[in-house]
Amino acid sequence: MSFETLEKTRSRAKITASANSDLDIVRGKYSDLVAEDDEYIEEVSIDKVVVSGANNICKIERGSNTVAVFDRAGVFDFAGNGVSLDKDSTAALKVKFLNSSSPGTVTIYLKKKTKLNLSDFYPTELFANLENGGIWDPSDLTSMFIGRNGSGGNPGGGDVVGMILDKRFMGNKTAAAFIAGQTELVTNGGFAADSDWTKGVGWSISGGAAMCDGSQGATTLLESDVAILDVAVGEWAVVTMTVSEVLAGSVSLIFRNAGGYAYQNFDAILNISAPGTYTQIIKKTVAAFFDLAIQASASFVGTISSVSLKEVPGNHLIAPSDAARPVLRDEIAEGVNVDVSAQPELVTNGDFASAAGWSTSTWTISDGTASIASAGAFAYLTQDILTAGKWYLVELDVVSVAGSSVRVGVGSGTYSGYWSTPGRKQFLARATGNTIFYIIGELGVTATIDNVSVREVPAAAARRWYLDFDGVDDSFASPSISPGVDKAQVGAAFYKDGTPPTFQFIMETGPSVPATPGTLSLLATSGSASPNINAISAGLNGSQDTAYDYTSYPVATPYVVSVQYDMAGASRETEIFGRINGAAPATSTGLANANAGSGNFTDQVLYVGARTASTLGFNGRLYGLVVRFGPTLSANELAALEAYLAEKSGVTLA
Amino acid sequence: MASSILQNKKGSVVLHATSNTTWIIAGNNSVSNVALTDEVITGASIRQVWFGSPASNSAYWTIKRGANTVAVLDSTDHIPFAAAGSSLGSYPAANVTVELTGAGDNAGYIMIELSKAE
Repeated sequence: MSFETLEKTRSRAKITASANSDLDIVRGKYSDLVAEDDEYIEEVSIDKVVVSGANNICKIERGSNTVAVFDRAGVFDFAGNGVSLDKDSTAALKVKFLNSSSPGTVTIYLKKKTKLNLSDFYPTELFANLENGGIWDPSDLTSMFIGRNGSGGNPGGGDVVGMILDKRFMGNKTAAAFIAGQTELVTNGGFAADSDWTKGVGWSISGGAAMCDGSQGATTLLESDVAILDVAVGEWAVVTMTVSEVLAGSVSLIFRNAGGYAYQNFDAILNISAPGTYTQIIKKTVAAFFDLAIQASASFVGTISSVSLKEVPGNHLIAPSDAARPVLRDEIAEGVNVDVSAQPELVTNGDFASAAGWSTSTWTISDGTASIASAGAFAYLTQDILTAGKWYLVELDVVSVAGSSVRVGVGSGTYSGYWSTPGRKQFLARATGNTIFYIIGELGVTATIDNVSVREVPAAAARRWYLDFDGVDDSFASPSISPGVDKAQVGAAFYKDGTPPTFQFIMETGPSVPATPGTLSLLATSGSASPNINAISAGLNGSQDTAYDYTSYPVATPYVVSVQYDMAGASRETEIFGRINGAAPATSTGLANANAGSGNFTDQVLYVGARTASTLGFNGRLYGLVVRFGPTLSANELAALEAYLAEKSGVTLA
Repeated sequence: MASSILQNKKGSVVLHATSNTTWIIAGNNSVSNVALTDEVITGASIRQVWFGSPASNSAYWTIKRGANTVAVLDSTDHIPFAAAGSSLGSYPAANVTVELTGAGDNAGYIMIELSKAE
């Protein structure tokens, strides 16, 4: 590349060359020569060319194609005459001088098309035409639930994940924000008025709540008068019931048939006997009319303050059993990629050289330490140094501790564990509640501390979440997905934990790719001698599968893998096109047949983490997964997808 | 690709070539190379043309409508027929053929903007 930038604006650039030059336009970030820092270049067309120098014969190429030839000096204005030279406008731009003894100079005026901005890109853009597939993003904690039916709340680090929502229809929103914006399907679910509900024996509505007084003597219903017909068969919905008081018995939220009490194949919120907000994700599997009812047990005395039902479309993944739920973790908690050494120290006098900067309650600062003796109450040592919502790494020496414990708070809402042994302690958390950093002496503690440090975790490192699959049984399965097309793309960011004993499935459609027509898979390894990553596609004839092994990709390294599958291809090369970490695989070894035949991908369950959610499990971390059934991605779309996954996993793309 | 159709819009189209090429003009989308799905083209005139070829080889481009030569273009230039007051509209229903003489494929280029008539 020997182009030089003369001008660069948001939509245009002017570059010049006086020797053979090329400008790679394959990647979305394109080139500093023409792209602003936050621009994602879709294509660049030529507005004008100025050729100078005697005997200057030069050629402009895009990729391998000639688009213009000039044999004399002059100004050749395309856009000024209403026509940009936009042939092969996404391809690399090259200038070749054919008269090397007198090359002269070529100046090219470019027009940039910046469809995507990396900082704003979210892969929902790839599903703009309602392509089937899904986006599963462990970094959105609100998209996951501990229970396999959407119950148990959103997981935190170390919690199991029983369900993860497909986010492809959610835009660049958290799942919680998306759900909050969905249409409420329950009329008067907040009981603002005594209407829209049919009250069985014992029920009453007033004061923004529904109450059951225990007079029913048998199960009794509070039945929504408005039929909930908007949820189509096969669609998912999130149902929430807030129980504000339970004095006796239990209460359930159920979905009724027109004439009975059947659950209509819905899961439901059953037998609640304690106050709380209860949520489940349910799937409508029958077409029959149904409505929603709150069912009190014969002895229930209590209060319901709200009921909600909202659609949540997507191909949501569910673990096949409680034991098969992977664990949500983040790199910070695992001590990965947390480097705050370049961050400024926020604590004043962390070595207690003086008391300046500290506010104290009972703590004594002297002789270069802070001490407390037999705290008669909770004792605080604080500095107002935090910003709510940011992540901080707290470190301090507990020089001595007896009688009770010491802990720290990052804001008033996030506290460490109780430290009751001496040593260097660390706590990493996001500030919530307020902006105060607390050191807390628990009641009765005698302790000395020193060398307190609080540094903000750089945003780039905060914090990469992943699902930790155990390689044994951890897995998910989707409902059956109906692609209806012959092209598919899979993007995955993952990390292989240990030496694989055999095949390890990141994902697979159907029960067995080689044997099941119209299926595809991506494996973290296929068990070959060399550490590998493997992509397989199978055609209409179940035995007509084709595959690639990509080597060498060892364990203990994160990877971003993108594979484009095209059943319409005539050969392995055109049917499976894989990239690893933003580049062609180092070594590609074709396996099975030379091609997988033809036809569409077939209706199949999507399995993630193991074959049929039961065998050949993936042992490692999954940072993100995108599966799309639709037209082949452009180079820029592919680059954007890879960049998105790289951000999730910390991979540096080629 | 030695030839391309760029910026094909209702009423106009841009043709690009780096070697000998013929485009079918008249007819509907199943016949014509330049008709959109809702166009039935009866003719097209040349609004402007950009071209380049290596003069050292005495190379030149010939534009024909059917078998009839309507322009011979050597060296490198841009000729804005329409902006100069008159599109090059001879034999409007005939195919557009471009031929590069005196140089090999990809040694020159020609880009033609046509006005389409229905």
